[in-house]
Amino acid sequence: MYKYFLDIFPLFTIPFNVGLLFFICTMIYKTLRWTMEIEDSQWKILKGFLPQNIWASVKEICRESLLHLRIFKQNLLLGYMHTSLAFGWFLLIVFGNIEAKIVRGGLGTGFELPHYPIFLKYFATEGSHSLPKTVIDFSIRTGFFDFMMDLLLLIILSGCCLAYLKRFHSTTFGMKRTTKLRLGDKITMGALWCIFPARLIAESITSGAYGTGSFLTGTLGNVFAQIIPQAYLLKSVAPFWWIYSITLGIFFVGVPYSRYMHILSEPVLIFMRNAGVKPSKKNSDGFSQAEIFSCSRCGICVNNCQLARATEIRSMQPTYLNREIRHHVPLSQEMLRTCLMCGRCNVTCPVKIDSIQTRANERRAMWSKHNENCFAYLPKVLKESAENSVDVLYFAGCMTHLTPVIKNSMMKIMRAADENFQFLDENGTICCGRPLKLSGQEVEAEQLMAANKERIINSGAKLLVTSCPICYNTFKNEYNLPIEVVHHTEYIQRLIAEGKLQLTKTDEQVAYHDPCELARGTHVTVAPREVLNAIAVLDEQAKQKGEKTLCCGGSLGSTRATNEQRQNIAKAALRHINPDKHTLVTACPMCKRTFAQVSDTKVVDISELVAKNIKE
Amino acid sequence: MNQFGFSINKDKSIDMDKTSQKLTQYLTTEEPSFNICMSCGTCSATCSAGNFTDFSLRRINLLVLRGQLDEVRDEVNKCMLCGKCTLLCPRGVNTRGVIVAIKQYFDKL
Ligand code: SF4
Ligand code: SF4
Ligand code: SF4
Ligand code: SF4
Repeated sequence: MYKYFLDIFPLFTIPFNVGLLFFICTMIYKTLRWTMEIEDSQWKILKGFLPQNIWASVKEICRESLLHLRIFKQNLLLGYMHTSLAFGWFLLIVFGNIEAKIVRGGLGTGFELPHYPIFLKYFATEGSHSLPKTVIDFSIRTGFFDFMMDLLLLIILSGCCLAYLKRFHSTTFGMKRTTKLRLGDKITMGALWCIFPARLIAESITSGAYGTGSFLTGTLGNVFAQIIPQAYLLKSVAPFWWIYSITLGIFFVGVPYSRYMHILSEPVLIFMRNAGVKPSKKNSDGFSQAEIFSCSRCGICVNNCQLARATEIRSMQPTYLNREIRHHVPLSQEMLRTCLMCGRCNVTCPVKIDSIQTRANERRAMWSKHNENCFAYLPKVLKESAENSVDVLYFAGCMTHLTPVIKNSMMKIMRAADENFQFLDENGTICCGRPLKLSGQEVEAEQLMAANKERIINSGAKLLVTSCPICYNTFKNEYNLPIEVVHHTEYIQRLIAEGKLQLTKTDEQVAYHDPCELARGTHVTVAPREVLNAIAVLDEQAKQKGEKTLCCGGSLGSTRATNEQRQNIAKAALRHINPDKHTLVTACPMCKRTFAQVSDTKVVDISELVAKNIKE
Repeated sequence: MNQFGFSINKDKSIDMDKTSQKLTQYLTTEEPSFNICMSCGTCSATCSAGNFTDFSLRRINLLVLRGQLDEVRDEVNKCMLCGKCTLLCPRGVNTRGVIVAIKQYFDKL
């Protein structure tokens, strides 16, 4: 009995098999648990099994979990490192299984135990008593699979070398720094780093001892055979396979306790997303948990975060946020409140984790008491009679009142276009509510939103124009207004297209900055450029534009960033956006003010430039 | 009497038994920029909330320094967190940070 067991499970495969079993059990347990904890609707997950959704999931898993295409877009070398490890390993398993099948004598031989292909080289030589001799010879003579296995191993090893390099010299990868590690990460990473070198040595020694192997293991084996006497070589075969098995075992057991957990969670997350599961407003939700565990701590978000680049704040980015939540570490005020909520990390995350949502959830949880009636001081709305109703309602917003030139320009433009409009907040703005919302005080924010909504609907207007992208985003996406909302750049573009506004084109060279709320938050990028092309010469140098645009640093998302840190962000952004020192045009009162404080050149809002160039 | 705009001022003396320096200490660690405020009142002049009511951040800062926390507690909720004051403060006080920190202080009490 014992002998029979040893034949199937030689002792040295035990660490590997135990690790693998643990890994698979964790995967099943976690998947079930997350599914149970989905707050949206657990049954939605079944939708993921519809053919088109399954197809979408499989495609995405191949593209992202194996090929890591989004990382390639960040940096080629970094992409290669991830792909060579993930896809290379995957292919190694596939080819290993095919080779094992051939060695076993074709398809009809039934189910292979997982350790068999993994330790094939060992079984094909040392354990050869269990194999018919002719079949082994066949496999070895074909050489093709041996060659492929060696090639794949070489590719993976090159990926490993890059990983070592990245740990110690991250700038090679276009990254300022890599992430800090926990103990579980260190052990598992150490095991991962050792797996493939261990395999190389084990296979080479076996090849050396038995005269097999292809260009890599065969050659290295020959070298070993030259310097080590045959008897010793034969004796050292087993110990090195032990080492290989143990490193694999440690890695598999370490996965759930380390950042490599993303290997398990990412496919689950992709599946949930394609099933249409929506995140809830709590981070204990199954979907959010899957997101948090899917963070591979690749550090790409740290690298793209302006706080990390322009200031010394490098401990609150999503990679750390996800880690602390995952390990139930209480979040510091810095972690909670420093983030600008600019969203750059979200658009660059290769796993597409919505860290803004995660952080917003944590911010909401900061407050235990709510004030139901803190804005009772706001004046009551007087019901307007129907005759007074206007077509267009203009909402300047708090920030525009700090930059009156914008609202004055808008007045001039609307009068020139002969619009029937009303200036909603001429005598005092009620904030749109977004700043309070961003700070987690949703109950309070909703009171402001209700007050504004009442006034907007009461005006009877059909179109709401805002000058501030923050208000715009909020009105458009959170207010559920019965009327259309546009930003003033879109509005001006519309006036030009309708022929209501005649402009003169000048030859003034300008640079344009995409305000982050406008370009990333609401995807308005074409309208401002069209308007600018009608009045000036647009010279765009910035590579980070559109949805990847930079934040000016003034963002209301942060209640902790200091004045100095904000200015440093603005300076760094300016160098990127306007290297040639043209007039800088933007479309957000906040950007205008923030940049104006540190810019050598003039900073204007797009409406100013339009108002200046109206044909008389 | 009110119609002439006159009234008798409330007693302004500070009762040391009822005041507390706890919040000032809390702010000194949580939002150190609180301490560089020079009470110029720019924040109050631009305040969105101040447009509708007599809310004033400058007064809040003074009340905190005096330790009259009972008067701060509800008053601070009137702020809309709009951020105009942060952009204008000549001393570079992170005013929104001060307000959120004060609110957090009372929230955790
Ligand atoms: S949040 Fe995304 S970008 Fe940041 S470390 Fe995690 S996986 Fe990488
Ligand atoms: S939202 Fe912006 S500031 Fe916050 S972590 Fe992401 S990139 Fe950094
Ligand atoms: S503007 Fe700044 S310095 Fe002046 S009172 Fe307000 S917080 Fe203090
Ligand atoms: S953030 Fe508050 S205190 Fe500052 S201007 Fe706005 S409403 Fe006033």
